[in-house]
Amino acid sequence: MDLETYIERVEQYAEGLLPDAERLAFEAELAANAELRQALDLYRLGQEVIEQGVEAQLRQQLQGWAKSDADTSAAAPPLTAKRVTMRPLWIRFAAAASVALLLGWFSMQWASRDYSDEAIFAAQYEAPATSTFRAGTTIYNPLETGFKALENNDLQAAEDFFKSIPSDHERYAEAQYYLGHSAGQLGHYDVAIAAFQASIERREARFQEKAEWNLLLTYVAAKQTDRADFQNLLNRIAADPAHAFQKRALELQQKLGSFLRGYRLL
Amino acid sequence: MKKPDFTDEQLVSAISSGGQARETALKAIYEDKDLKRMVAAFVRNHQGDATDGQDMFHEGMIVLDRNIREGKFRGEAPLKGYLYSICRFLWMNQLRKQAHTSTVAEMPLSTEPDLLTPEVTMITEERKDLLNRLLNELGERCRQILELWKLSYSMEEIAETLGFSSSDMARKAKYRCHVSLLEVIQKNPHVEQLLSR
Repeated sequence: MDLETYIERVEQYAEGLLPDAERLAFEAELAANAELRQALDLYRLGQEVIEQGVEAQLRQQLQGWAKSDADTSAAAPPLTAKRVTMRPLWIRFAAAASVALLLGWFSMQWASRDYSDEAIFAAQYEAPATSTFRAGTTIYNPLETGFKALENNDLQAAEDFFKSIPSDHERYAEAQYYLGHSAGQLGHYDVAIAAFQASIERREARFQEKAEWNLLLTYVAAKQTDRADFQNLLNRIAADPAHAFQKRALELQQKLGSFLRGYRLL
Repeated sequence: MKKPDFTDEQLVSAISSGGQARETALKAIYEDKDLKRMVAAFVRNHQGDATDGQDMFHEGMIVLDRNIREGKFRGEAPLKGYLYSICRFLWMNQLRKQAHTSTVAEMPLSTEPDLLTPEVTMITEERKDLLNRLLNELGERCRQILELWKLSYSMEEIAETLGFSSSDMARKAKYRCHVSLLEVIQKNPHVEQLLSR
């Protein structure tokens, strides 16, 4: 069957776009034309296939929101102190003052640990889950070697492989996205930054927002949060309610702006 | 169910119209903490834990999104109640499938009054697996185009989102991708069996 013969009419029928007279004619033809019936079945199954992709995307989005919620609501562990029992009053006061000072000092240290670049990166970064790796075709997946390397945690092999994908490859944006992850986890931040930027430039919906967020985190890991492009990107995401990472960008802004970042005494 | 500036009608309209409006509406629904707590409590009271509660809320959101886009939600009940009913239905269905206890089959859906019976399309794991395999045979670009099209993005929006030079180019690409998908389906040896069920 030559699908192109039928696809446009089938689509119009299935989407309810045919005027009544044409719809009736189409239904009459359906009764007599087995190929047309087959084309309609294929079209409907095609819609189910695409819906699976839409649902997978939403599922991923929901998991991202859930993680963001969990990160936000994670409470700091309570600090406790044992009671000091000393007879003379001045010793009690002195001890209490010392304990308070120590508690205060440790509290600052404890709190400030969460505001270091390393802690912010560690709390926010997620290596890509293997379930997100996409097959190209069941016969041949051009990125399979890189995905296998990532699955095996062979980050250097993954970085080398994704670097080898040429810029005219149809899955270049995806390759650059995973190159960013591979290189970032190896501490090759310049490579990772360039890769996430290259992925973003392709403006592929599936990777753009994720690449933007991971670019921000890579800047944090590389201690380059004073760069203008980091600030601009962070501000843009934080101001965009439609961006999948807006909430996390707002949290990041808050953490980076915290006075506790200055309290690194140890 | 929503931030103060969204009515049920606005949320439904935004989800139906697709694009960024859909995502904003879904996020507004997602952020209803009371509803999340209600679903979590229901699941916890019926042999589940917090993770199950969250999973059911997510799966309920996915069904809600689909039902709204397909016009199956007709506004006969508040959106919040509708989503809660879906989550309850999904969890009880999962319990039955898992057959953790012999009494599950006899268990009433809930001791709470039913708000409505949600229309939930359940597909078998086998069918889902085949649909996913077919989806994975599409190139990444085609997959993106078709998903955006399914979400009612206009050709202008698809062109802008995916970097086509014009809406005409996006339309042509969508056509080619759609034909490719149908060819992939047509060539798959398991599809005929699936269609016959």
